[in-house]
Formats: sequence, structure tokens, C-alpha cells
Amino acid sequence: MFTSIIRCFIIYIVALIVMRVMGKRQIAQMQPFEFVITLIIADLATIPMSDTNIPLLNGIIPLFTLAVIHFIFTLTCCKCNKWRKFVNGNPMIVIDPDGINEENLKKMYLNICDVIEACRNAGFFNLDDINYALLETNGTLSVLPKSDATPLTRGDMNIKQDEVGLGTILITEGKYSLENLELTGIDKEKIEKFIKKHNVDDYKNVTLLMQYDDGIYFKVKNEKVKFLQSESLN
Amino acid sequence: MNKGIAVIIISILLVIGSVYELILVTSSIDEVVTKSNDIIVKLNSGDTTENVLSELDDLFVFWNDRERVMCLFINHRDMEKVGEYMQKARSYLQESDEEKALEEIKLLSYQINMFKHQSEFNAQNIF
Repeated sequence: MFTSIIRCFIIYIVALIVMRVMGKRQIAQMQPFEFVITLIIADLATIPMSDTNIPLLNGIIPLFTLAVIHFIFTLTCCKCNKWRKFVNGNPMIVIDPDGINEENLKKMYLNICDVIEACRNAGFFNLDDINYALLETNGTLSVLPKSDATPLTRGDMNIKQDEVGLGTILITEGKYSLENLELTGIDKEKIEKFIKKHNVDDYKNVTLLMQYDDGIYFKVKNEKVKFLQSESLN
Repeated sequence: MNKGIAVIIISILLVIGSVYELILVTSSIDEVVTKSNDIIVKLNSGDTTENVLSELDDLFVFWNDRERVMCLFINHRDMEKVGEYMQKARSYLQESDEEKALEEIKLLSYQINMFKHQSEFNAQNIF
């Protein structure tokens, strides 16, 4: 049993390393070649896990080989558009200003009901609100709504608003985020003063402390969260 | 860039590992085949049981030594069969049943050659 446990552990670590080498693309929306590789990895990992007669290398080597193949495909797809089109295909317009594009639906062997379902999943229950709908190479539907159906924005109402930046984590789960402290130039003493001001003795009790442009998000263990508008640690 | 370097290192290791496997498995198998053929020749020529047993023991020691590394590449169950054939041959020789011992050695030689065919880099193995 120990053998099985250790084999399982090793295969898991190797699969994790391989997924990391393949990058975030693998975890997000997948292109066809990435989908294939993901399916194969799942099977490859389980075979030597379950059968202790099969050498571990019989699972590990194909996993690493797939990582190399994936890298080569990704690189060539980045460098060569023709190759990219061959491997991934092209996005197809399924709805245009004239309505549903039957010709393209036929080319992709798609049913109108599939398109309507995809539109609903994208949040569009009325096809008349759609200006263009494209079926992407990863199978998702991208929708460009008609101007009348687009949500109102501040820009439409000429309301000026300063740009808002990203929040920076300063403390998370009782630990300082040293990289971010260096990035923002905020030192620990300032943070200590701040948390003492809010009756917190130890930074280890802070679940989350985040600095935004317009305030500070402050959550202490077992206490209610506070958003301190217009405060800053800079 | 880091990912590219990692992939290059992995590719190099894969190639080196493959070459090492080919060399190790081929050389081990050739040695075992040579030794087992010697035993077959000795049995066929009616050599003394002690001499044949001594050859078989040498083969057994050699196999045990190589088995540890070859287990990384070859199915463990198949590897165990080789040891089994050797033990059976040994038992038959000790009982002076040279015919059965010869059969076991021939099976051993066949099994070993099967490993060689399986590990060779050729179109038959790819498909």
C-alpha cells in the first residue's frame, strides 16, 4: 500500500509540474489541441497509479513529452498564423446584423437551438439585442450587442471618473506580503500603527489588509469587515 | 523564456534517458542471451551438472544486479518471469532433470529476447 501511496504522490507532483509548464492557458478556455492534451494527461496519470507492475517512468515520460509537444504547438501557433488557423480553426460569425447566418451554421454542423442556448449562456435572451455573435475556436460564444441593448456607462452620461487601479494585498492570513510592501513602499511600522489604531494588537490576527486607490479593505479574524473610504497607508 | 529553458532541459533529459535505456537494456539482454546460450550449449554437450549450475548462478547474480535498473523501464511482472525461469532451471538441474532445465533456459532466452524486441526503436513498436 505504501508503494501505491508514494506512486500516486509522485504522479500527482509530475502532473502538476507539467500543467505549470504548460501555463495558465491550459486552465482557462482551451483550444482544441490543449483539450486533447488535457484528456490524455488525465489517463496517463492514472495508469501507473493504479497498476504497480507498470514502471513509473511509463507514466512520467509521456507526461513530460506532452509538455514539450504543447510548448512547441503553442510557440508555433504564436509565430505562424497559417499554422494557428490549421490547428485551432477560425472563429465563425453565427449572427450578424442580417440575423442568423445559416451558411456558417451549416459549415459547423450547428443547430439554431445550439446558438440560442449559447446566447442565453452569454446573457442574451433576446436575439434582436445581438449585433454580432461569434463562435470562437475554443467553443465559446462572443457577443457584440446592439447599441440600444448595451448597458449605460459613465462615458455615455459624460460623468467623469478617475481611473481606479488594482488593489494591493499587504497582509493576508496573518502574513505580510513582503513583495507588495516593497512595491508600494509601505513599511511594516505604518501598518502596525494603522492596525493598532483599529484596536488590533497583532498583525497575525488580520485576515486581509488591502490598499486600494480609494480606500483600505480591512478584515480582522472574527470581526466584521471594514472598508475605510479615502484612507491610505502611503 | 523560463518556460522555454524548462522545455529544452526536459527535451534533453528525455533524449538522454531514451538513449540510456536503449543502451542499458540492449547490453543487459545481450549479456543474458550469451550466458543462457552458453548454458544451453553445455547442457546439450552433456557437461557436468556442477559446471552448468555454476554458470546459472553467475547468470542469476548478473540478472539480479541489472534487474534493479531495468525495472525502471520494463514491466515488473515480465521481469519476475525471468527470475522464475532461472529458479526452475536451477531446481531441475539439482534434481538432475536436464531436459526440463533446458526447456526453462530456452523459455528464459525467449522472454529476454521479447524485452529486446519491445524496447527497440522501430516502426513495429511505434504502431
